[in-house]
Amino acid sequence: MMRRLQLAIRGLVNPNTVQLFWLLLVLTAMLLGAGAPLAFGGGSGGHG
Amino acid sequence: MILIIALAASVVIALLRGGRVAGLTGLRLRWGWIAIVAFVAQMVFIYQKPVQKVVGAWGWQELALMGSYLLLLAATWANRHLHGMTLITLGLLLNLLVMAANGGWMPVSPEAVRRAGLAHLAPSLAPGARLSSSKDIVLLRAQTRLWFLSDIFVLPKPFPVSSVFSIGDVASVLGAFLLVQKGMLRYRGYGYTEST
Repeated sequence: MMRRLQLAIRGLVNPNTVQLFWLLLVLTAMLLGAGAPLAFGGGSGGHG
Repeated sequence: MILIIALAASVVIALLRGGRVAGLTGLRLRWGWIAIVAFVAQMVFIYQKPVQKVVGAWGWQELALMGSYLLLLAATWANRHLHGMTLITLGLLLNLLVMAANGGWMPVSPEAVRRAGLAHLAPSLAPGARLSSSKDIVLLRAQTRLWFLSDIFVLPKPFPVSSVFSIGDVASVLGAFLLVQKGMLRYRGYGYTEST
């Protein structure tokens, strides 16, 4: 159990994982920042 | 929401084409933090309480929103070496252009809002009404400058994620799609492994 947890944490702090997370974060910010659709936070729901 | 779905769909399509998520790690982004700062600043306006605005009147909110677009423009321009980033920049510019021409907000017609079933996002559908969860403002087609660049494409209510979007949004999504495909598929057929 501990071994699995250690591997999972190591996987999370792996430089490649961090790089991937950063890239997806920035790409999402660029796309959401550049775009202007209605609505941002959801569409079909009653509260946006 | 529709932009996030488009981005996620790009990743899924690339996976189905034999791409690898790990392929994205090789893409080097410049000035990424600027894009994040700009979008976080926008969120203040996106999720503010819907209000009635005076059509065409510029205040600090409108100027700040335009400023955030200029920051994003700097970030996308700094990454123009990446496949698809030119399209994202073009989409951003088209949206910036129509917003700047209409008082700093993205115009959307009352009909489009009704068709998308999103009238509950605005206090009313009178011209000048700001819609929450968006950068949009209600404007009649006749009073919208550069109407063709505004939010004119409607995914109507029966669609699971109803929305209204612009040509600029389409260009940005296409750019992100190309970027993800290029990044994820670049190792296909070259015996790529995790350790390389």
